[in-house]
Amino acid sequence: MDIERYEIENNFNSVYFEFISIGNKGSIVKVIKYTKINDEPLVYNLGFGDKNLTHETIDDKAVTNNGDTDRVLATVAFTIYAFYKEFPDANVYLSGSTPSRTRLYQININKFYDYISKDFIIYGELEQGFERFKKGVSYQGFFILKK
Amino acid sequence: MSTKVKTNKISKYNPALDQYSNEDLFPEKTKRAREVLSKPGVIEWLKNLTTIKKLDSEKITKP
Repeated sequence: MDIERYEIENNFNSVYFEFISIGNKGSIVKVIKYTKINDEPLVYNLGFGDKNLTHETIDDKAVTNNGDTDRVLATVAFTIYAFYKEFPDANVYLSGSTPSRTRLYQININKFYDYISKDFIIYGELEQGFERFKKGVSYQGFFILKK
Repeated sequence: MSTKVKTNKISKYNPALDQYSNEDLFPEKTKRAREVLSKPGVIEWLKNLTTIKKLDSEKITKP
């Protein structure tokens, strides 16, 4: 993807990633964690938030406004590729910690849909179930499947 | 042009990270995801998708 992203530091099993967002509010350590929530079919939940280095806690509701949203989300997208290299049969569920964050994810899926859809199938979550992702529909969450 | 942004490494391999890989760092989101999976028909729907995906990939790889 021709978008700037941050360099990743990850541990050996491709479920935990850290990178540093550098912007107008300073340097913020971002954490991405894929947590297994089901075995058959294999499902992982994608969690994403800021790491508080003082308290060693994670905040997934922080609004940092560091001015690098595209670069941060491009880095999250990059980890999906890294994750699927190790877990090609997994299904990844993604939702925001707040409706506005889910909306932000949706805006970015829309923006890069042509690129993403070459490698992944995206399903959007509605009250009554899931459907293939469509632009302009408001979803509550997403399933990402590798083609 | 793709530009990889160089940042300072947080650390070299940090054994403390291993504990995170086995820990649920986002309990609220995980709970929400589990609730979604527990909705009627969702697991079956995913199983079907996985089966279709497997069949498709076998088709592609067959000579």
